[in-house]
Amino acid sequence: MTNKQLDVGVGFKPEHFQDIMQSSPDLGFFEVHAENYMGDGGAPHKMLSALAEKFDLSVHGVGMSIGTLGDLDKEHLSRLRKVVDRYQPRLVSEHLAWSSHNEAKNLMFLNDLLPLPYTEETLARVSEHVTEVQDTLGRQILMENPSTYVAFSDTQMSEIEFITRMQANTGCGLILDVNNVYISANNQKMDSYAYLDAFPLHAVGEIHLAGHAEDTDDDGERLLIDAHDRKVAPDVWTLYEYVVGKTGPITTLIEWDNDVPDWPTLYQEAVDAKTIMRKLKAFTDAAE
Amino acid sequence: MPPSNSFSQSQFAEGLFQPEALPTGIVDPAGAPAPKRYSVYKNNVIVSYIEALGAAYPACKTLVGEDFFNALAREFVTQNPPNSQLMILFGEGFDAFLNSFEPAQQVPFLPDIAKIERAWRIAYHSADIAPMTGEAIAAVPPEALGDATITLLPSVATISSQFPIYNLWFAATSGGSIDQVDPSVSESALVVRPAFDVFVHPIPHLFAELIEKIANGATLNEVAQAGAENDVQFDFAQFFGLLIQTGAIAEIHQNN
Repeated sequence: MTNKQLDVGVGFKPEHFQDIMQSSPDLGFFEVHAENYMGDGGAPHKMLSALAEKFDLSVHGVGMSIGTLGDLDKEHLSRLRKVVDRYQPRLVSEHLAWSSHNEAKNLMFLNDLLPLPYTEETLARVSEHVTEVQDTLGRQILMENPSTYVAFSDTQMSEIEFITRMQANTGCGLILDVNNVYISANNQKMDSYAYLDAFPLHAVGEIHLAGHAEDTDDDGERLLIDAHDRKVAPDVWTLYEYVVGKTGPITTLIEWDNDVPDWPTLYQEAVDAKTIMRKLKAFTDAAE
Repeated sequence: MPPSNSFSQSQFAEGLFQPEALPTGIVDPAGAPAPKRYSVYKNNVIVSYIEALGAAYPACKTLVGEDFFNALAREFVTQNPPNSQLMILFGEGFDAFLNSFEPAQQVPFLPDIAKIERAWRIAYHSADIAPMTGEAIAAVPPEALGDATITLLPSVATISSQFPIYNLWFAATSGGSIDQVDPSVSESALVVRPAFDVFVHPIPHLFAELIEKIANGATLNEVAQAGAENDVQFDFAQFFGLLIQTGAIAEIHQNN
């Protein structure tokens, strides 16, 4: 079985650099946040260049604010282009979210992935922005489904309809973040399996998996927080298995951004994802 | 104007910085106003800023302790939220804030430690320019040096203080105790990144002043003269040797 069929990667953390270079883990790729490599030079670029010699890269933007109702920040877009041109990553992705809203005047960066109502107006803006990013980079990007904590009285359509139409409008690919599906299903009182059944899986180029934290909402009910600070939850692995059952082996990323563990602990999460794919693949092969 | 119940990103954003705010139209899945759900974003944003500032100023955090640092940070980030997506460079102006914010005055050396850490951060991400080698510098004709000017590496910065900032910074970043640091000593520091590691060197105050002159385009003759005027003991060779040894020189421009 080749790497391509079990294409699992993890989010790169500089503290793991030595472990990775010394152990040459059996991984298909590493994902990095684009904004961490927008400095002029120094150790971050040195490490990423060394990593890129051994592994494919996926560049995941967290600051483009594609969901802004204003205009995209052209300066930031050209910074992203510089990173993409330099590292020639296999995948480039961003979020269905916003993090700043008045770029043209006086940018204030909110450093979070903020939600937006799903309306004809927001769909038009997001679609324009995805197209602008793709045209500037000269390549397709993947757009990630969000995790959300609030709803909007303005919302006119389901998240699935929004994502499906955004994808059709722009020809973008999608990241299906299964942890986000689990979080949003709980927080928005949706059925996660119905969400996955309706998701435009044909456009999915990458799955994301991560850990979440638990809180309570205004009524004392369970509210899940997209913390990326621990292992993938058992329920999320179960959902992942359901997705892989539909898609077959698929590019999968483990994200762990806060309270980052030692390398063996993180690597084990990637091995677990492979095990699930291998098991399902074996089952499919046996049935054929 | 949009109708008052419609989604506004500026309202959503402004409300994040007001403890009681709940912009209209933000609800739970049943359609009821959801202040606690919205406050998850308030917390995410502020905590992410405070964590980014803590990552940028680890010595300051160690010197004043996490609780006091986080209280200072909360005030700073509320007054100075980031104006760029590049959180790796967040924290500009923290030293000036510490100078003017009354509760920080009880730690008078803190602004100068913050200056070192800011210079360190900028150096860490600065452009990759190799310092001139000793051989290349030796090859410059001695008679050309007097009128020469110098381009320093983009990472070079100096910090001068009335406090023992180098030793305080060193103790805080190396797990040492500041009780061993003589509080009556005043120190200057040179920050430079000749390859991939950032270095902080303790240097004489006069050297820090002269490095600033070089950065502002003074010729080496002018620098030597300023050095001698300030200190009869000034040894230009020692000063120039420090620039070479620390890898601070990017280029020497012969102007005659």
